[in-house]
Amino acid sequence: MIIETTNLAKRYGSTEAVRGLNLSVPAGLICGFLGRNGAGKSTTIKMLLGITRPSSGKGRVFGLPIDDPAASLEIRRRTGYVGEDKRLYGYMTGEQMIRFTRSLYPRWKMDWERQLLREFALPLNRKVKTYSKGMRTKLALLLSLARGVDLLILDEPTEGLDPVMIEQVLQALVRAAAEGTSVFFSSHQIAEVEQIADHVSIIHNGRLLLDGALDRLKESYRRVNLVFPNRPPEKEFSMPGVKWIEADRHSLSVFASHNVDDIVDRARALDAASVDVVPLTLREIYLESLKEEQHALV
Amino acid sequence: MLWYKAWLESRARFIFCLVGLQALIIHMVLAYDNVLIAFELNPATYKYTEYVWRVFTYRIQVGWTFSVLFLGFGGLVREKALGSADFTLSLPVTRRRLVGVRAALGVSQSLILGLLPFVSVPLLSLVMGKSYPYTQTLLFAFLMTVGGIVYFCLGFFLSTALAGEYAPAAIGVLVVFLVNQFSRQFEVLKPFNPQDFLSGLHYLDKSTYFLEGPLPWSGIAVSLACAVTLLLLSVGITERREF
Repeated sequence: MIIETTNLAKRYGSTEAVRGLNLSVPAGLICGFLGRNGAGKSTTIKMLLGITRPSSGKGRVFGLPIDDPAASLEIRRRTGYVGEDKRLYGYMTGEQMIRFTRSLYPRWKMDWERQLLREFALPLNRKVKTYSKGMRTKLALLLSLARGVDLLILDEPTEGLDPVMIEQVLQALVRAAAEGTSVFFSSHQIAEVEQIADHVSIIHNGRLLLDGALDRLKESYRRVNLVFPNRPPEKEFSMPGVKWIEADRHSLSVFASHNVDDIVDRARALDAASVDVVPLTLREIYLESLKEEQHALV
Repeated sequence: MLWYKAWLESRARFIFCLVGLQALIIHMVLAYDNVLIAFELNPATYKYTEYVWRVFTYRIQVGWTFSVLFLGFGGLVREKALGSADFTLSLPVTRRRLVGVRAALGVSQSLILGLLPFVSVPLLSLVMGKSYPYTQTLLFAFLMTVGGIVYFCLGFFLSTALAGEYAPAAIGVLVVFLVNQFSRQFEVLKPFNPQDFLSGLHYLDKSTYFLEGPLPWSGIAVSLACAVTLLLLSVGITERREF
């Protein structure tokens, strides 16, 4: 695992931003980190990089403890980061920003720098404070991608970019992963995650809601739509794999993470008039998982 | 390259202070004749050396003090307000080193500002048809910068400890003002008045208005100890602070 956390928590006064997060991100993959606003994504990322300290729990990146200053320095040496804000030094020009960042990373990739400069068409001689948000994001991405590091941690990297740029950035991330760099990126854009991620971690209210290989999640998660001649026997479906059930007058909608065959068999045994197994997109899995969490809270 | 960053970050403030202080020095030295006329002073009895000492004490020293206080501002708390702190803190550099480089550059800039009167006052005096020894301006400049570097460290500390754009500046100016005023109010504290100490009042030969005798090393040592303490506190705060 390139990133691993155990019961990681962060409190700001009485507010719990992250609550006992258990995260495992495999090395060499692209991992999408999904969650609503305020779910704890940025706080988690900041803890991984030593920008903020955990209140409790443990975290490791490259097997190094995130709360040890010397280890944190080594983690940052091997990690490229794009923050939520994408604000850089307004008093520097784009060229000065690149020169400054390049000097701190011995494995800086000049070929990446040149290629991204061509693609992003940044006005390098202008002060960063005059850049638009999109330009700042592009520069922040360039500074991160060209570092020649083992891990990229990106907090909503495509925010503020137009669709063409988003596509370029996603392709750049795929290329980085193909060259052996692990990518851990947070996003609100589920379609982006679905497009490039191998692994997905969904966080909600500071806790891990769902975690796994994207293909496996999409293979195992199903909605089973059932129609019964009479009132649907909802309680009969309290069985392994069933996350939650939505009942209507004659129909049941069962959201399941696995064990779909048994659910179908049970429905047939209960004389279901119609059984329809529907595969789910990541967006649906995400939204259904959130519903499940809300049901659990109720 | 951290030096490069620290330089670019403080460059505008440093140049502003450099130009401002130099303008003040030029104005004050060249105003000698006008001051004599305005205050109806007799050139035969009012010594040029006294004038220079007063200019040092009440103008240059004050200008330098607020300049270096101003140079102390900035750093990670300011970067957090501007949104670039996350980028800085994600770099493979310790917080201690970030603070250290900024402090070292700021001290160097403060020393350069301190050298301005050392060089400028004797030269401008020549323009005025007067002569003023470099040895004396060196002593004044030395006392002011080495003894007064604590003001830079105060600004540095306040900008580390306090969030907000104006809070460090407001509190810094208030502290400088209050310490000066407070130490003048009580007889027992008068020897510790920073302005008098930095102008060498207690070592001044009032007949020549030159500094006489050994430098006040114990006072300088106390001032430097305060400066180092403030810097160490700044390092400690920065290392523990949540961003």
